[in-house]
Amino acid sequence: MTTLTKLQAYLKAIEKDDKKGKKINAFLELNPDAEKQAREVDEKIKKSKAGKLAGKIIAVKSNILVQGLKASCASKTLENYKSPYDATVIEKIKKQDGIIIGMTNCDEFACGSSGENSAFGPTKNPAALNLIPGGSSSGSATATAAGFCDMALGSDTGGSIRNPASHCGVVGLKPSYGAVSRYGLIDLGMSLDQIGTFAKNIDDAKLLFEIIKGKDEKEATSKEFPHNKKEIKTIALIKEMEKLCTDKRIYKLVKEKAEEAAKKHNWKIKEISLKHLDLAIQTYYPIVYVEFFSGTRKFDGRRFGKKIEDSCGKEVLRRILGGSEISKAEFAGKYYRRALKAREIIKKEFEDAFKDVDAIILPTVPRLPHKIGEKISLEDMYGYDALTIPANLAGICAISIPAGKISSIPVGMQIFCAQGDENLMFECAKKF
Amino acid sequence: MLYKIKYVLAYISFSFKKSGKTAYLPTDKLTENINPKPYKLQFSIPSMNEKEEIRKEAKQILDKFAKALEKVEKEGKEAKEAGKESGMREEREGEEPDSDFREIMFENAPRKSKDFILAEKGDWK
Repeated sequence: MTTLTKLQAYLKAIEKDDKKGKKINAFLELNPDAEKQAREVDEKIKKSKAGKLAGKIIAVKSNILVQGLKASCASKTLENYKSPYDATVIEKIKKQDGIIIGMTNCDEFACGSSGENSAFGPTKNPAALNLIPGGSSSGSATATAAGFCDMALGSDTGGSIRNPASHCGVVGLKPSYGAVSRYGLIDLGMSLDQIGTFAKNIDDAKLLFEIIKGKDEKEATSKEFPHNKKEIKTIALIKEMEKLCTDKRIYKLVKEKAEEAAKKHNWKIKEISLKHLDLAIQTYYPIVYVEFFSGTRKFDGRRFGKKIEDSCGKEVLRRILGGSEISKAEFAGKYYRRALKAREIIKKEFEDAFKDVDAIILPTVPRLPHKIGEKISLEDMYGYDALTIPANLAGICAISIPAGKISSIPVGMQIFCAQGDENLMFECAKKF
Repeated sequence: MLYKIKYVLAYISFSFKKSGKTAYLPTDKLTENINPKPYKLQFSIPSMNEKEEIRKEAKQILDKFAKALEKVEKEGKEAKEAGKESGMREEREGEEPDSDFREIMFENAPRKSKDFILAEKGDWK
């Protein structure tokens, strides 16, 4: 199969089921030059001059800049915003001959955990069409799961890659903070955001990560990590996990999987206590509200788009207004500094844990997805990310892989490894 | 009849909540479908009244979170500011953007005149 024929097969599947048929609504824009680019890659393949991503068709979340395509963030604010340059990750993908098929739907400005907050309509879960796919990278997860592309890029601030990967039954990777350049990513929370990958299998998730990672002079927090550990010897389960899992069936499924793998591969299995894990949500949101408020001040309707406060949906507005409250001097200590302190404590707990164990195994999402349009409380909605947020707060790497199904709905399990230990994490994931 | 069914379902759900058990939806109800129906669009731009409600809601949830974090006040050290760890860049030559950059940048600006993006002075707040 050539790159072109593969691309055309994906385009046909999109034509059939994205806006018509199953109405997945994964894409907001398709790349009009994709076929031309695929022909060029096929020529390079013939001459044995193609890059490592030759033949791979990649979808991109709409908050990552791809020159000439719209980076709308699924918002009316940036509805017509055409990216003036390529994000560093896109430059790297293009250099290795990956084909960008289009820009995917998401929760508006990556604010959400369900995929329902897009200004261009919710995305459907290909594994169960009446349920939410999870978010915020809903379109990238569903495009991968529905067979619209080989792999996809998303962004993960508190679980936005791993959460939809879990609900849709695909692999979702959140790299360590700093492992991948954020240059050209429209940020949600700059101290927590990471660009990561979706794929149908671990090898593809790893391949795309290997291409996009690395230090970037344009992005001061990016860096190279030395790889220390070579193999998994001890894995850990978290003592407090059963209490944190709303749906105990998910806890049981993941625990059994971990025990089974430990037995098969002769790993030691330890139970560890992370006492402040239950404060993850309360720590995360004040930080995100402030950073998002600060990051959105540029959307004043002058250089691009519309003024954000006049054109955004409820969740985006809640974060802006909340961030504005915290930013008032009298509230800074009560909310923001307290949250930063809690973050340091959680980070330290993970650092200590990784002195004794190589990987921590836990569920990705503590409950099954709800029906699209079903009204759930704000706290329940924020609760979807209770088990993914800790990795962002600690800056460590994490991956969600399919663990099985409950009531025919995909359920994911996470593997956490220490900062920079992505290779070890991939090795561990492949053993499951 | 429909009213009665709704009443019974509401009662079951209430009983579960009262007993502290989690009420799961029956499996066939979750995955049955698969004739996609048009969904109701969730997204809407809030009205002025809704904006005030959202502001209050944001404040309430932040207060709740701050209360939960009270216990860490005495623990832990003061946090570092985000992004300050590796903030040094190497000295290097500037980069020229490619020819499309300028064109697309001006294309994105809502109001412009020749080489300038227009902004109303009085609108800056």
